[in-house]
Amino acid sequence: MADRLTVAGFATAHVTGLTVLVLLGFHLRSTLGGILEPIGTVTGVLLFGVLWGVAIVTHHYGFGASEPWSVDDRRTAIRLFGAGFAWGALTGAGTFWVLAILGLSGLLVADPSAIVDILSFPTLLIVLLGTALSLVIGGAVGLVAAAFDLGVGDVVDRIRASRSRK
Amino acid sequence: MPSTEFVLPVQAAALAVRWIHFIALAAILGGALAVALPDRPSLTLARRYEFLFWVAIGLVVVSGIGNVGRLAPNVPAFESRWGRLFALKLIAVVGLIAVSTVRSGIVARTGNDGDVDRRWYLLTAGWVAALAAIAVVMARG
Repeated sequence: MADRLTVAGFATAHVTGLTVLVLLGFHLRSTLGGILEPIGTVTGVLLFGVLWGVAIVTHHYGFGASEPWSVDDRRTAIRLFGAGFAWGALTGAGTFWVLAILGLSGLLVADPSAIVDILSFPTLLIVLLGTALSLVIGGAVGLVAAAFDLGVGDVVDRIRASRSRK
Repeated sequence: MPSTEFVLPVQAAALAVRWIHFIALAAILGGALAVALPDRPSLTLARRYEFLFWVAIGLVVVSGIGNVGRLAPNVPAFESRWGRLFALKLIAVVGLIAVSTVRSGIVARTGNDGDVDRRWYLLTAGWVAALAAIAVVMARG
């Protein structure tokens, strides 16, 4: 029960927290309207849904090795940051790949002859560069998420310790 | 000029997004009170609430983006009154997520014979009520 709660809680906390902070950043610069207009509601919901789904899958496997809420000695900072970077990178690349597959599938359904363009060198180069970029961005976000998890784990430890002393 | 057939689904979708936002917030608020108010808060209910909370907060965020997206590209600037309230609301949502991660952590690590601290759920309910108040002020312009 606790493991499932950990996955659902941390995956959603990371995705929603990141999303709201990005929105806040654009809003503070008064550029939110310009960013949201080309994305559109349906695409925005799809982006968020894919990111959320991929994050739940990667957290399910990632937190098996570094459970931030566990009390055992595996919850060391170096393990948590390592796992955060690795699973964050996989979340970024996984999200990019799901979106790429969805987009390219849509192209193929609309025009089957587009397969020639999809298999061309420029498209494959874009996929390669996109994968590398999403790995780096995801890894960086994973490090921030790991710092957040470490802080949360320590706060939970302190609260539980103070409650047990009473 | 968009056709009537296109405009109606867009309006229906916008209404659905608003209802999802409202119902998800109501579920977070009502669920927190349901855990907090009984004489002896139930751990089983608290664990179920934590799952409900994380699903609901995801829906709140995605439907919130949909609501703001409808205003694009004319989202009021941060310097306006609406803009400052919106920034305050976003910061409050980040705070709610952070507090809820700690609350979920405590529940996840509470043994089956452990007690639920109702103050976390009262805090959550109060926080969501404050968020709703900000939303009402924003809606009034």
